[in-house]
Amino acid sequence: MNLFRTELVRFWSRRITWVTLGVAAAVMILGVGIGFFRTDAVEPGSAVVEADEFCVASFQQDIDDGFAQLPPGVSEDEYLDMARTQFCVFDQDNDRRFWAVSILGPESSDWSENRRMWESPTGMVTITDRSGRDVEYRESREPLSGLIPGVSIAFLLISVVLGASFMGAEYRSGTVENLLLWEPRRSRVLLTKYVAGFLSSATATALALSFLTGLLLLLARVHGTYEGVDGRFWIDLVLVLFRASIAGGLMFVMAMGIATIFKHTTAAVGAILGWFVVSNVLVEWLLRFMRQHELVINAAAFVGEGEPFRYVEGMWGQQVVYHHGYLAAGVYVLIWAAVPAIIALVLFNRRDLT
Amino acid sequence: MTASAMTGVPQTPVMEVRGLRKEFKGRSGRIVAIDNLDISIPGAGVYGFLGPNGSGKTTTIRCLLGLIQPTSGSVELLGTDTSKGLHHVIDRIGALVETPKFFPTFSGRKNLRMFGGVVGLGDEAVEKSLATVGLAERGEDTFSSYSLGMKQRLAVAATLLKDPQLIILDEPANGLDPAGIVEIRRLIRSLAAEGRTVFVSSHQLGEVQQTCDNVMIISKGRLIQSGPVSDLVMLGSQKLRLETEPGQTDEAVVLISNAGMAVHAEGGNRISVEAGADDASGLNRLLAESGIWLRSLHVDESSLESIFLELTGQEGEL
Repeated sequence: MNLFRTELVRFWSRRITWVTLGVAAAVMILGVGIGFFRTDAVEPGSAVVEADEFCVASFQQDIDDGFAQLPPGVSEDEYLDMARTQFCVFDQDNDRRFWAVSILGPESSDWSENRRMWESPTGMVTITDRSGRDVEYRESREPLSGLIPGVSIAFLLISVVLGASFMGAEYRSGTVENLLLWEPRRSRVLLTKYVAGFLSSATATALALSFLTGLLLLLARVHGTYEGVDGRFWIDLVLVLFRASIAGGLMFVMAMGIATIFKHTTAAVGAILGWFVVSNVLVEWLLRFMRQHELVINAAAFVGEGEPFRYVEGMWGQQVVYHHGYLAAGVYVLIWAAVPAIIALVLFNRRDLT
Repeated sequence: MTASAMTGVPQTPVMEVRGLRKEFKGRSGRIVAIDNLDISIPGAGVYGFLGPNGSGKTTTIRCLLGLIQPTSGSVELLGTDTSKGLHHVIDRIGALVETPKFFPTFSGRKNLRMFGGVVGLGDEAVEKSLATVGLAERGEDTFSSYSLGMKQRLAVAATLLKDPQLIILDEPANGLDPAGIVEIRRLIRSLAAEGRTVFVSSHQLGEVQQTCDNVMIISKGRLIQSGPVSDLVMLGSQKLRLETEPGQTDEAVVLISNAGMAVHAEGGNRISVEAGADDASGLNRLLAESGIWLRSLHVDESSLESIFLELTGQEGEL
């Protein structure tokens, strides 16, 4: 427990932790500030009414066109009721409304026979693409909770940098050797670091995203509306933050493991961020067969409650079909983090410190 | 102070190293850094560990502390086999290995709190250690802002944090100014006086000679000599250096030579004689009886340095 406490103190005493969180907070304040100046307050109820009309019309159109699928046991009216606006702000420059019909609606272009029926905790569906074409001056946007998962990807990258630095700095300054003069059981040392790092990084991610959420909710208060927001919205929002925090912690541990393997911060950061950069190209081109297993895709799916899909040969060439759900995506992220962490543990136990 | 340290006589040997061997993989094959090394330290005192660069001193210390896995051999510290139970005794061992290693952006005080916290030590122990090494007033400065000497002092403070029974110091005087070296020397002696065991490696032979009770000399990974410093010094040759009145030197050389002693005229009325301190008065009498009066006569003992150089075959800086 002493070692665990020491590692927690170290994480929260590091300059890079606070500098990173400070920069992130500044960027968030700037972004939301820009949002404030680009939006106007809305008349109570008007935004909801307009958005509702638009949303319902869009869904009606989808149903009429045969694009929308009704969940089993749900009538058309019930389905349309699900599409009520819950959150909106008005964009004065572009004269369009940012609105949200759900907080966790899965987007999928899976129209195969094996497609997954629309499901989400709210039972609602986010529409993003078609509405923009159908309506000239309105464009549906990611809801608040869709923005949070998007931003959380950036925090996963930050977790990578912090995790790699947390361990790499130990090798750079030689303190890992000094630490073993106080606690020579190496497995205990590294596992404690993993646990402390996971919890600290998850907490940091939660704090940062909560800060952003607070700013956005404040923006919604002054230039938007909470009409239609119910308890489910808040619960799901908290769940998004929770999953983002877990993902942040796992990325931290993965980066720690790789930094331990390389004994170097930059090598670990380069390896992971390099993968982030090239992975999309690889899984969409050279390694399509492993798309559904890829780290970034699963991390994004886990946080945003998405559904990684895989490619299959269909009637019109390659089509995509749902592969697994967001919880399974979380397991994939866990495996991605665990593999380097375990390899690092083995090496850490065997290596001479010279 | 630990109970054992208070009594001054530990129940078990402080350090027992048997057949220690360490090989490293090199580009040209396996490199033997330590070869069948035996060390035995029965109790309290200051034990010097001498060897030229690359002789295996630091590798040995790393093996002692579990930082390096020995290829073969056994290490027992404070009666515990370190390959299995180092964690049982680590809180009674303070160690400084090579350069001081701390978090550069943390203050000296915070660094000590961090490491002390691992074994549950509080602020009191930290402040005591800082005061012991004279860093109390600079404790809030970041480690990176410290001079090399201050860093070294902080490392020594860290070794003292645990109030250890066994202290292992690898080149503790590195980077210290003369005053700092004197302080470290006093500190080491005072630690030994408290009943602790100090195992100190150094290439500063003079320091070892002044500080240590016993010394082990290692070369190319092998222990080549060990024992009390005084005994080692006696191993070397002793000389009597004489200076005669002008014009009497040649006569003195003949007399001494006839007395069966090896003698060398060194020029300028100076003579050296291969003899020890016990022979000095007899030699003086011999010359005086022949009317040769000496301007000076002194015993020239070999230094540990010269012994060391003789044993290891090293020349120049170590």
